[in-house]
Order: sequence, then structure tokens, then C-alpha cells
Amino acid sequence: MKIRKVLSLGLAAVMAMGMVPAIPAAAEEPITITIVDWNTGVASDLQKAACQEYMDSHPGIIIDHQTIPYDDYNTKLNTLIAAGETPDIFYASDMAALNYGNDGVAQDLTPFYEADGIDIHEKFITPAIYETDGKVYGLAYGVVATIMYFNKAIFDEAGVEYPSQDPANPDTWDQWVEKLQALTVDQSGNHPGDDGFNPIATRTYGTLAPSWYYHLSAFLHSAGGSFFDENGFALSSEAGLRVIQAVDDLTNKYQVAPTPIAEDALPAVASMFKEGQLATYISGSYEYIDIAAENPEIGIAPLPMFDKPATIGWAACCEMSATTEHPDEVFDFFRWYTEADTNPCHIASNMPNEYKYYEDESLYDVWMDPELYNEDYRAVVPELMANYSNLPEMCYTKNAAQIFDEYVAPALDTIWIGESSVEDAVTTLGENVMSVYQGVW
Amino acid sequence: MKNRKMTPAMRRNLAGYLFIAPALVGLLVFYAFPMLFSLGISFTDWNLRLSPNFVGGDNYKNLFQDQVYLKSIRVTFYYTLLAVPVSNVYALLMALLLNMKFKGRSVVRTIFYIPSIVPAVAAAGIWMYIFNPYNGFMNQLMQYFGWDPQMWIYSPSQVIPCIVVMAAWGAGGTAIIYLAALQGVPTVLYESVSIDGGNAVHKFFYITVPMISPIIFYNVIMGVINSMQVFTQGYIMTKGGPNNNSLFYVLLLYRRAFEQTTMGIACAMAWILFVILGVLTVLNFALSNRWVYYGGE
Repeated sequence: MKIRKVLSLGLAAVMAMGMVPAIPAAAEEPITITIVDWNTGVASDLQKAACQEYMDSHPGIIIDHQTIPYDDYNTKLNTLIAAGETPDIFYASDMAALNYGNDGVAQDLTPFYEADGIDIHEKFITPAIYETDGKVYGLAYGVVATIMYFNKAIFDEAGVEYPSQDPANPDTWDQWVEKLQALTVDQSGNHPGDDGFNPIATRTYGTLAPSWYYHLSAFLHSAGGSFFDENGFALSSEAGLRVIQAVDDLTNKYQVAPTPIAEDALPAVASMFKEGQLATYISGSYEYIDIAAENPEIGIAPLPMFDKPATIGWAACCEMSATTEHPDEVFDFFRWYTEADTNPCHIASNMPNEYKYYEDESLYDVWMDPELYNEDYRAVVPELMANYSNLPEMCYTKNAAQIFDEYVAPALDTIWIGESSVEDAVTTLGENVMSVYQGVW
Repeated sequence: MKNRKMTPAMRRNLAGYLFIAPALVGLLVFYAFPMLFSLGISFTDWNLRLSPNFVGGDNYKNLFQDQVYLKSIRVTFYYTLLAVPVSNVYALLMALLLNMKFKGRSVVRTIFYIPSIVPAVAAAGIWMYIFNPYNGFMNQLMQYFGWDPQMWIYSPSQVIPCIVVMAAWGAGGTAIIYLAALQGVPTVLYESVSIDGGNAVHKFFYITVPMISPIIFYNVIMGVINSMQVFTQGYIMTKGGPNNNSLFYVLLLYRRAFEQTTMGIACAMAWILFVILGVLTVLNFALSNRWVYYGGE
């Protein structure tokens, strides 16, 4: 009996010792990092593959990657936050990016980069940094810029000189409009200004009016104006009125662009270019892949300027939860995910966030695959982005969605549809909008 | 022990309570609680992210100085004032037609009813094509007759009437209710009018309308409630434009709640709408004595 007892005690002791290593193992339970974005289709597959790659090289980390379609994104993200389930890393729309930081949802990234010995402002381009009061709450993930696309064949056929492709010396607005008048032509071969020109039967439009407030803000920068400044409403300044009038004139005076209603009924821009129905087009670089797929020879130029060369660069940004349980691990993944060195897939149709990709031509291929991006794009966009891009006001106006969607866009609508003059619409806008304007971050 | 035994009456009641419990719990959990919660939120500055701070009646006070909000009220009332009579008259005429005996009646009934089962998003797509000023059906029709093309949903003054036409087109459900009511009118009453020498107009105004007046009353109340909450057309077709002229109340509420995440303001808006609808319904009931006839009164 006694021996048996001793044996069993000994066995128990051995078993207990065997369990000792199991205790630290329990502490090393895998860490789950949640990331929420709005990528769909191929982009989502690429991100999932990227997450898998990180997991393969980082045992002990599980990446829970969730995709929410963009239309529902803000609603669902805010609901998660309200429920206390803020994802460790989340996309934030440019208009809301700084709100999350100010409300304590997003982490200030500065100390993390400092700990890694990185100066954020030296490494990342200006439009990629979402910053207020010295705190960086978000880092743009794939940057986009407003650029001009043009159809070379239409220019050649009309014998019109291409737009200047030098970002330091773009065409002036007036030079551009002059070219558009020569390029716009109706079914009978008449140009705007000719007797018998019929805008309803336009065969080739000079351009589509860049009337979205993002693009307008690029032109306001060029004219030295803005929607708002430190004194409040600024669109009624000389520069502001000049830009809005110039854009309105494209449609309502020079007839080189369709009315917004006619525009709604037009086919997609890529096929308009292909069919020779459109000479130039001002829009985000995010349309390049679609347009170039049908028009590999598409020309790229900087925006026509008012007083100085300017465009805007902006992006959805990545933010890190302020309440994450594993800040160091999450930041490690954050860097891995947002930097093209480790995760190049994210710049498939957007631009990288680091200076070196614009400055070092040997890195161009990383983000501008020569198979996809033509010589024009590679020659114009890096310099334009690095030297002439500005963050649009919407990204740092406090209640931007309310200001721009409820007030600015409806007021500008009345101009574009010919219901109101530029001066009247802007004056009324100024009278109304200041009651809700909360300033900038 | 004996005292704690349930009496048969108690047992019957318990059974009853158990039967209604699922509905009651659902009502409390999914309606009463969220309503009270939203009432509480309407007195705060909650933005979904920060903890809410009590701001008293500021949200309510500010709303009445908010130009965009006041415009959304005007737009919604204007729509309701147009849509309720137009839809009801159209639905009643449709029901009268469908109540007549003619060959192919069931086919015609189906055709009239189909629009009301078309999903709102698909209907919006159809009407966006119809109202497109550039190449839409309406302007082609106008051109055919030699009339000037119109801007339709792109015109600040025409956008609401256009959406009203859409609402009438989808009033098949209302028409079915009218049809059922028409079939409930005793034929003897019509016969007596005929004997007295009355014609179809007399029959309609002296028999049909009074006899179905409770149903008209019901449809008007439901129409007002639904019209005040119209959302999809503004959300999909016009995005509230042009110049906020189709910025319906609930569309603005949705934007404030989920796009701008000003939940406190959105909840205040919801409660104001609740009060408005309550007042309108009470008003409707108060006026109903004058024109609604309940059999036997």
C-alpha cells in the first residue's frame, strides 16, 4: 500500500511538472488583430492574401480581416465603435478621419513612429498624413490626386497642341478653354461660337465640367482661394468667384462641356474617350486603370492653372484603435500593412504614401507597373504629386459632411443647372452656411 | 402549501399571459425600449463615439433655427399635401374601374397591381429613365406632341410633383383596399337610387363615398403617415437635390444619424416627426366626424 501511495504521489508530481511548461504556453495564446476596410472584389482578395502572408511570417498573430461595402461602411464602423468593439485597425473616410482622433477613438501614431526612429514628416508625403495639434491620427493608405486625362487622337485630328505636360508649367485656364473650343464639335462639324452650333447634338465634348467640390478645391488652390479660411466663408472672395464662374462658363458660356443633366445620360468616360466623344477629362487618378484599359495611349497632364500650378491629393486613411489591447503588435501590423515595401498590393490603383517612391525613379515600377501605367502617367504624376499637391479642405473641416453635402453642393447645383447666377448662389450660401460652420481641425 | 396553489382563474390568466408573452416581450424590447432610449439620446450630444453629454433642449432649439432642417419640413409637407390626395383619388378611380364587370378584368387588375410589388429601388430606376431630361421617355413624349422638354426631377419646382406621380403609380395596395370596400357596399342601396331615378354620379356621391368613407379615412391616415416618412425616392433618385428641394425629412434624419453621426440631433428629429404625425392623426380623427359614416350611426 505504502509503495503504491508513494508511486502514485510520484506519478502525480511528474504529471504536475509536465504541466509546468504548459502555463507559459497558455499565456502565449495567439493575438487576434481585427482590421476593417471597404475593399471589394479583387482589392479585397489582395488584402486577404496580404493578411495571410503576414500571419505566415508572424506565428502567434491572427489577422481577422473584415470587409464592409463602402455604402454601409460609416454606419457599421460607427456602430462597432458605439458598441465598444472598435476594430484594431480601420479605414476612415477622408472627411471623418480626424473626427475619430479627436473623439479618442483613433490612436496618436506619433509616439509609435518615434519609437521606431521614424520622422513621419520626412518619410510620408503631406496628403498622406492626417494631423491636428501635432498628433497624427491616420496615415493615408493609397493616395489619389486630381489629374487631367486627354485623348491624343482628338487633339491630333483637330491640329490642336497637346496640353502642357510639365507640372511646373501647365496650361493656363484660358489656354485650356481655347483648346476646348477648337476640340468641341457637333454632328454637323460646327464648333461652339459658330452659327448653327447645336450643343444638344455635340459629337465631341471638350471636357466634362469639374464641378465636384473636391476638384473645385484644386482650382481654388491654384487661384489662391478656398471655400473657407480663418475669417470664415471665403468662396465669395475674388478668387472664389473667379473659379466658380470659370467652371460654370465651360457649360453655360463656352458650351465645351455638357450640362450636368446631359452628362448623367452619357456613357462611361472610358468608352467616350475610345469613341472620340471626349477630348479632356479632369478627375481622380483612381480612374486611370479603367480609362487606360480601353485607351492605353491616354494622355496625362497637370490641371490647367489659374495663378499657380496646383492639384489635390487625398486618401482614405488607416487608423489604429486607441483602445487596442496589444498596441505594439497592432502597430507592427499597421506599418507592415500601410507600407509599400511590405504590402505593395495596396497601390495597385492608388499611389504610395512615402516620398521615396516619387523621388527615386528606380522605385517607379513598384507602384506604376509599366504594363499598366503608360509613359505619360509615369512622367507627370510623380512630380505633380510630390511638388504640387495640397490636402483638400474637406479633409480638415470639422463637420465637412454637413457643410459640403448639405450646403455647398446644393448651392453649387443651382449654378450648374442654370437656376441661379454664380454671385447670387455664392452669396446665399455664405449667408446660410456660417450658422453651422465649426472651423477646421 | 395549499395557499400557494393557483386558482383556476389565475391559471387561465397565466396561460393568457404566456400566450401573449412573445409579442409583449418583442414590443418592450424592440419598440418601447428603443423609443425611450432615443428620447433620452435626443437630449444629449451623442455622436456614437464619445460618451453622451446632457445638453437639455439644445438639439430641439437648434433644429428650429437650422435652415436645412426647416427646408426638409417644408419639402415633406408639400409632398404629403400633394401625394395623399393624388394617390387616393387615383387609387379610388382604379378601384372603381377594376370593380366593373368587363372581359379581361383579372388581367387588368394584375397590371394595375404590379407596380406596387416592384421593389422601391427598381421603381426608382425605371422612373429615373422616364424623367431623364436628356433622353428620357417623358421628354420624348413631349417632343412628339411638340411641347418644350422639361427638366423633371432636375428642376427645383418639378421634382416633388414628379415623385408624387411615382407614388400614385405605386398605389396598387391602396386600390386593393378600396376595391374590397367597394365590394362590401350592398347592391340594394344602388338599386334604390336607380328606382329613385339617380344616375351613376348620384350613386357614387350618395352611396359609394359615404359607405366607404371609413376606408377612405383609413387610407388618408396611412397615406399621411407614409408620405411624411418618404425616403427611397430622395435617397436614390435625387440625393435630396436639386438644391435640397427633395430633401425629405427622413432622408435628412438618416444623413444626420448615420453619415454625420450626430445621433442626438437625429433622435430629436425623430421625436419631432413623431409629434407631428401624432398631431396630424388626431386632427384627422377630429375632422372625421364631419365626413366619415360608420354604418348604424
